[in-house]
Amino acid sequence: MDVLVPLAAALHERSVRFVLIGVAGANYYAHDGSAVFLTQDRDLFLPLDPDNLVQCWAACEAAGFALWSGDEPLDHPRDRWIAERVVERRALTRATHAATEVHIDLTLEMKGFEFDRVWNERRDFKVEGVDIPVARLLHIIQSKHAAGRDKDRLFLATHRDALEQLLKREDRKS
Amino acid sequence: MSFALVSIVSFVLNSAEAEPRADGRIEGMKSTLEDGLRALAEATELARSIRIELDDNYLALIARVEAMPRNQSGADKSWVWRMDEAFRDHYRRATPA
Repeated sequence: MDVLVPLAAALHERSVRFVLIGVAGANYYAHDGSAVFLTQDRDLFLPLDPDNLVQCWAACEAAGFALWSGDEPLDHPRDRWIAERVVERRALTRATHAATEVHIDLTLEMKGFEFDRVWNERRDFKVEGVDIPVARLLHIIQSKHAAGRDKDRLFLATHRDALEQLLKREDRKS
Repeated sequence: MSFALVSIVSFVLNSAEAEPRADGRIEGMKSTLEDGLRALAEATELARSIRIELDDNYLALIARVEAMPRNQSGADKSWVWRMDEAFRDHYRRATPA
């Protein structure tokens, strides 16, 4: 099972607000495997809310993830004081699942967007019966365009092409 | 230019001749560090040359995809991670010929 599923369940149990963004989020809008993009990491976008972040960290630990800040384990105690410092710096923490080596980035920033807008317009998709909040495809694409890194440009070029091919096939069917 | 990210991964690994053999291994994979670094440098150059605009056509494509019934809240997307895992497993098993 995708390690995101038990993690999402743990996050829901603690009423954590989070949205899947990035390439992994865009994959949820794919029609079939031809438009699924391989990505090593998942990015969860979180609000600038220390209490939410503390609960998020607790959920990650409960789901078997180790927490990292840069190259070092996140300091203990993982309490509101630490969370406030992380939120102030808008720093990224990373959750790593030891058994599968899947990395989940807990990010407080999404280029060009505030959390509430992404949250309010999200889609809740089901994976193995668990709700996975996913950002709108439009928001993911606009954010990648705004970020403009090499990997974002590669993604946008391939993604646009994949959408064109998909919709041509749909048009031929109808 | 029709290439999915899987193709880019293949490009980065410079595996133009990559065809799975009967035992699942991939022929033609470049295995030296030098080859890998050269391919990465070429991919980086390619990325820098790409300019994608969010023009009306692209936005219309996105709007069509977002409006599809299968992309509304409540849709079952369990197949997505299974596909991701299948890709991952395929590339994990790839070894130099």
